[in-house]
Amino acid sequence: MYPDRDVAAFVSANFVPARIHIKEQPQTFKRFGAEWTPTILTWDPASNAERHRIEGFLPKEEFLPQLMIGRGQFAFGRAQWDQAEKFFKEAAERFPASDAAAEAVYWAGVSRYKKTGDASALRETGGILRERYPQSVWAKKGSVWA
Amino acid sequence: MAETTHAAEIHWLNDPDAALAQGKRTDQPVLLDFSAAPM
Repeated sequence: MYPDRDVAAFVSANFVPARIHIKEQPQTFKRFGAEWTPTILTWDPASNAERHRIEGFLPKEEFLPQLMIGRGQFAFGRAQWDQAEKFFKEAAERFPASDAAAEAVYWAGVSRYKKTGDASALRETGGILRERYPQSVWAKKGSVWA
Repeated sequence: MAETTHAAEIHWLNDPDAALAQGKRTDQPVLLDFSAAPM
């Protein structure tokens, strides 16, 4: 269940949600490569491709930004850079203290670069990651830009 | 199409293929929740 209203509102507004239970549909677990519960996939039905995966329980303040990243990755996979950046920024700005925030900042910067071709978007993003999330793997990934 | 309602008004589909078809039709991503929790 997703008892939190913010999570429910985001899911309802942004996804077609489907729930598959291990006891009822074990073959569906195999079909989508779900090996553990909970596993939450963001799936692009047009390209039949996975865009994001959450494995294991997360509290709301981590789960909701991960859903936002998933929604951003759906747009990113379709080269919808404005949409992708919007969702990544929403995750980073609403949940700056979450583990997801650094990842969201990283992908927001990449989306901006993909849209504009301007490498300063990556340099700025690398600087933000180094300043705000220096211990994150995303700061390490962005270190080549700054 | 089987459909259930859980807490906080999420209308979950139980059929992944129906969800994929709806996502394709409405141009939306599908959220697939693989669960062991009581339904």
